[in-house]
Amino acid sequence: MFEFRLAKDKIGVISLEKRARITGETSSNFRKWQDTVDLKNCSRVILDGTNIEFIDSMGIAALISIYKTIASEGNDLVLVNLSEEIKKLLNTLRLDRLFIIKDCSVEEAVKNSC
Amino acid sequence: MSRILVVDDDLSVRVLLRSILARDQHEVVESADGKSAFSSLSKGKPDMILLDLMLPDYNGLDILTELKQDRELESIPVIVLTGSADRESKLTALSSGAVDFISKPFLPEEVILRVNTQLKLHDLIKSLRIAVDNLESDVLAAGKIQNALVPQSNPHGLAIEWIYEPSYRVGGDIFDVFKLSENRFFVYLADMSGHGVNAAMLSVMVHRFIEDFRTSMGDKDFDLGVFMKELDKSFVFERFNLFFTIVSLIVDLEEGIVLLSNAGHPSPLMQRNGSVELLDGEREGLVGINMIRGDVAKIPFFNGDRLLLYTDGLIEVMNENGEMFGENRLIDLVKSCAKIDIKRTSWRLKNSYERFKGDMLAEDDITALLIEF
Repeated sequence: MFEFRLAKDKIGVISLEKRARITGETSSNFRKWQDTVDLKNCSRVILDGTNIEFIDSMGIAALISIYKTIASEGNDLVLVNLSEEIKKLLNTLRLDRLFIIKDCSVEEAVKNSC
Repeated sequence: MSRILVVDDDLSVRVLLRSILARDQHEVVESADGKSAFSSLSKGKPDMILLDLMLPDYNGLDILTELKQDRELESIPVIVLTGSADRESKLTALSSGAVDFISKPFLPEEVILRVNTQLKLHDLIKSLRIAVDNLESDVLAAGKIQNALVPQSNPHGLAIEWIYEPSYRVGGDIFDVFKLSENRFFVYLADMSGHGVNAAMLSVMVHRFIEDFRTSMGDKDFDLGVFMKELDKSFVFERFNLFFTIVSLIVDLEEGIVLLSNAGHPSPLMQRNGSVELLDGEREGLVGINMIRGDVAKIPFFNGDRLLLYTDGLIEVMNENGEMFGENRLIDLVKSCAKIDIKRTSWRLKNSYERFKGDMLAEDDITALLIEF
């Protein structure tokens, strides 16, 4: 259900194939999927939230786990196209201090122009 | 080796099946009609039944239906024996609960293959069922342990009511109330990421850790900021790949203040003179990712003020239309209960979200603590 592609300058882009809720079950699939992609060697990772309908605490744990992988190399996790509810949740959890949350398109985030 | 009941009025078919099945060391019990089949079943349960559909005294399909309605016998796999042209009764038999059919005339290899496959499948289902039963009883036992950790009665001197409802027997919510001194109380409510067994185990560890911390620091010197920083250090995310949120407070009845620290938890509600305010001021990040600075808010309270702590499971209760219970509904409800005591307020709260969700299942654990000063 998750897709990964490398944009220019080793920037990794994660997106969802179709609209989905990231909950306990999906997040354990996500963890397995995460082991199959090389996030450590990305210069930055952009997660496209367009298709994220809902995210529960296990989904948040999955996001933290990605962040931990990327941050261990000193790189950033950028989240774009999130719904207002998800942004509010990340703010409640103060995760806006860990992740970079932007209101722009994936392309703009890749160009770092936002 | 299994015990197989062969029900067929044709002696030659019974003899043939007996000799085929004997090759694989299966024990065969024979019945020539429905009546003797039932009498044989009343004496002992076979591992499988091979059932002819055309018996002198019974229609085989009726026997099948009767077997499937009997709690003792319904789990026995039944393979029906039919004439090769009889497609309709094959379908009816399968939809009535038969696991397979063998068409007459049959090849010995086919009989052995079909019988052994179904026996193996049935064994697997049986062991799976036992495993699930064991797991369920373990989960129930774990739920009991977890339930024993939360307070069973009010600590004398603090007016507090609570709702504690794990979504799946064991949950990821945990809370406790300690009396630190005559007029000082420590209260916390924590919510582990996820729910179910791993979240419950983490909640037990957190509970245990907090008890230990309290003992080692001493009730007199209990410091909320130090406590929160210590939690953050001890439950680093990488240890379990889980995190938790916690709101913890010290209520000082003599000084008339609440010291409050909120790490990623939904904002508590404070009710005062008919108005309700969200305490969403200074907040910490969630526990385990090195974001807790030890900030503590000092909030004065007056007689009759109420404080509601709750986990997100409460406001995220969904109804049939996919709407959430939500913060606003919760605020309105708390406002409307200003004139009734906290015990009845807590009942009303429980009724209210239960009515809201109707037949929908709660996806997350629900905990709410209501304190009156």
